[in-house]
Amino acid sequence: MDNFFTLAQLLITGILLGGVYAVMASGLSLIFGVVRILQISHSVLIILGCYFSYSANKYLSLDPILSLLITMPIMFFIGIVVYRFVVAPLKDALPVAVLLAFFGLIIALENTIALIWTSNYNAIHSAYQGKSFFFLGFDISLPKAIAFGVACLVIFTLLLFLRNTETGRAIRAVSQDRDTAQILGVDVDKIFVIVFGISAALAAVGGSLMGIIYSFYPALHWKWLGVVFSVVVLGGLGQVGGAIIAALIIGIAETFAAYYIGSAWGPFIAFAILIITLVQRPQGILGIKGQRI
Amino acid sequence: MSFEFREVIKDFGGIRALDRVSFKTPHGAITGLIGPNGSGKTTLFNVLTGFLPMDGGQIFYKSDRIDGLKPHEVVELGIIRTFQITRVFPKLTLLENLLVPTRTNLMSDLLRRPKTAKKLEKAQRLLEIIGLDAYMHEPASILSFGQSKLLELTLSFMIDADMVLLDEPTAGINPSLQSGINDWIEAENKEGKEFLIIEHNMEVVMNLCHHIIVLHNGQKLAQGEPAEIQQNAEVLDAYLGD
Amino acid sequence: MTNLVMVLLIFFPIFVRDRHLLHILIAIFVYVTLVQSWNLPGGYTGYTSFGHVLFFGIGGYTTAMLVVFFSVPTVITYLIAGILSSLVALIFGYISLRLKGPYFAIATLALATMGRYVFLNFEIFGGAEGVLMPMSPLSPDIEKIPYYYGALLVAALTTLTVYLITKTRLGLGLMAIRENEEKAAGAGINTTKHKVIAFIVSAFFPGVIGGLYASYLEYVNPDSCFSILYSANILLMAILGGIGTIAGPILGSAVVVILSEIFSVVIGHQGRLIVFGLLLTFMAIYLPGGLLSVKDKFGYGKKTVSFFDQNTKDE
Repeated sequence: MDNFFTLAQLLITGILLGGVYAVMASGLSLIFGVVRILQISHSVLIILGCYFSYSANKYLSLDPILSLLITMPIMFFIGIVVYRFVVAPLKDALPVAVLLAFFGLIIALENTIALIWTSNYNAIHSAYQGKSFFFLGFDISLPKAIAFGVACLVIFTLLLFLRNTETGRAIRAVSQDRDTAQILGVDVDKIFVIVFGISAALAAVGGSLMGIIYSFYPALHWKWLGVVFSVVVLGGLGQVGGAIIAALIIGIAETFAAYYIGSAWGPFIAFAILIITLVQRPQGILGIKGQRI
Repeated sequence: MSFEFREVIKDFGGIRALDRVSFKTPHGAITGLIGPNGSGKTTLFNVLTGFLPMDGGQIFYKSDRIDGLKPHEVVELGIIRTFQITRVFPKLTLLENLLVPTRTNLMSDLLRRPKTAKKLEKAQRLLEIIGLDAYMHEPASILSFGQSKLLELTLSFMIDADMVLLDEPTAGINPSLQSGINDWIEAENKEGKEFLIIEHNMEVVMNLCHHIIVLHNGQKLAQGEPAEIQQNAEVLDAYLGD
Repeated sequence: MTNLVMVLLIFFPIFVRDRHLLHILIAIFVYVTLVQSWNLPGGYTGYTSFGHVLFFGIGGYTTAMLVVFFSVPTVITYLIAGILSSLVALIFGYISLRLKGPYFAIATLALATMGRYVFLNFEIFGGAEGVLMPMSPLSPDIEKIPYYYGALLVAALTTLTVYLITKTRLGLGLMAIRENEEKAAGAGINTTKHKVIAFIVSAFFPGVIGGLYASYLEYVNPDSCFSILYSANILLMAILGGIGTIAGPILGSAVVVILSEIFSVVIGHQGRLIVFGLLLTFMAIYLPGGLLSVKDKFGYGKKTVSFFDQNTKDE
């Protein structure tokens, strides 16, 4: 009985975490599906968003969720800048060149963060940190629950946006068939710009939420890179539903691994899942065989 | 006989690209593989040379089973192919391009120098024939489309293959060069090389090939000598009906 | 020219005793080894690894563990380190070399990160503290000298090995794979065998130099052995010097190490890394052929053939 309880507790925690992972990965999933490049700097943008929230909280006394109203537009703009200066010039280049360019960007951004905010551990002191409540007999951490709630809200909004707005539909068209979309009059370049902006804004959300739950330091984004990448690869090309399922799987897997093997092994599991998926089932859970980026 | 296909099946998702294809190619011949677009010719090449896995059937070469082999293993048996979309090695020089093809992957051979006197001489000769010997030490990226095709054709002659598979060797080549290539194929054939050629140019097919196999919608429609095939009503239907 | 430089390098420590200068040269030799070996699967075969540091780190820990716990003679541990790295490359090679370009890069990044976790989390490796490895003390004046010559030797051997390989059928096969892997297979090349051999050889030398460097530092820990900065440096040096050339790693290593020294003083540790990151991005976008391709812009000499020139797209 006790064991079952523990399992259920771990499951719940894993799901809460998975929700946040889904938001973190959603921006990457968009870029994967639409622009078709491997945006490895996504995780460093996430942590940048986290640090923005931290500063907003520290200097403006803003609740981290509320601060998203400021940080999301800022990050949206940064996403556009990244597209214009790093991605667009490499439109016809080898994919590896894009990766190298991103790698340099990661190093530069990570160390800019370290320069401005120092490499020390930092944490966001929100009104709900450290608190927890009981639900159906389970001990649920308040920050995680709130983060999960916000994550659900944001993902729901994103899905609505993609389905019901003209821009959203254009984005989906480009992700399905770029050439046809272009023929039908979609300005593909503009869509790319928008997608990069949205992706960075989503990164801001992911960063804030992670900042609510965990303490952080600049190099932490490498752990998150494994997580978001394995979520997107496991979920399959452009499959939003797949990414959500994958995020939940990875959140749960990490939580169980952390409990049974040791807390440091969580990220290891994410990387392992990434490699296994790449090699064995590159189309992901929901993807069609042969279909990949 | 050289090649034998027995009930070969290849599916792509819901589409059956090769539908229980069976045939034998006569020994020592230049065999043509024809059929309307999409009939499965290149797929047949890909399955034969190990670039695509099959979903059923067997393939034999001189009585040995060769389906399931990797591409380089097929080459080691003496079968070499060209590609429908010309493939050469852009940043390597023309000479280096010609030194790449090999029939062995043994460690002892891998550690040797690629450029032997014999190979150099052969490469030089072949480049002269196609008129590109002046560019021997230039990267292949400088070649025009037609020149690349010629280079790729020449690559397949570098390793003394027994069987050469050509995928549309004359497409995009001007007619005078075409007849030069055809003469060359005939000459090599008289020396003992066998050929299996995918061709759209009916004139070339009828004049060059000893034997013809016709594919349509992934199935073998007909097989026989050029004269027979020309009279075959079904074949005419297939081409005209498309 | 090479001979002159080699002679200079060999006699250098006899005349110059500045310990800092010796340290800089040792660092350059280490990176020459790393970048030169990286080039084999990277520049020549087109499989750019983002996790090359893995083999360096395995080498370091191998030496540390063998010396501290089993009292194996240090130089022997260097060889064992190289062999162990090669074994790991054999296994990881089979897993990851079937992935195409960018996916291979990401897989190697993942593998290197996972490797770091292994050494960080298992207690026998000393966790975050790592393993201390005090070496038999020589007078501070001359204690760097054996490492200088050792590193120089390894760097030279690596360069020689890579150079010789480029002259063989194996080397030509690797380049053919880079240019067009399918065509290479269709021309009779056993691409798996070629790639795995390249990967194994490329892991041996980092293993050896990792062991040497570990005994030079007299400690190993997850950061000194597996820091992502090593991979970043390797990539920057490779692209600066010219990917897929013999002189490239030498030029790139020298430039980056020396710039490192200058920047560290002038703009600090993070500032230096920010500049390097931006430089890597800049090179990837505007100068993929390396520093020497600048002359192309001015029309001097033969056009450097860039690794990144988009090959003919085939279906």
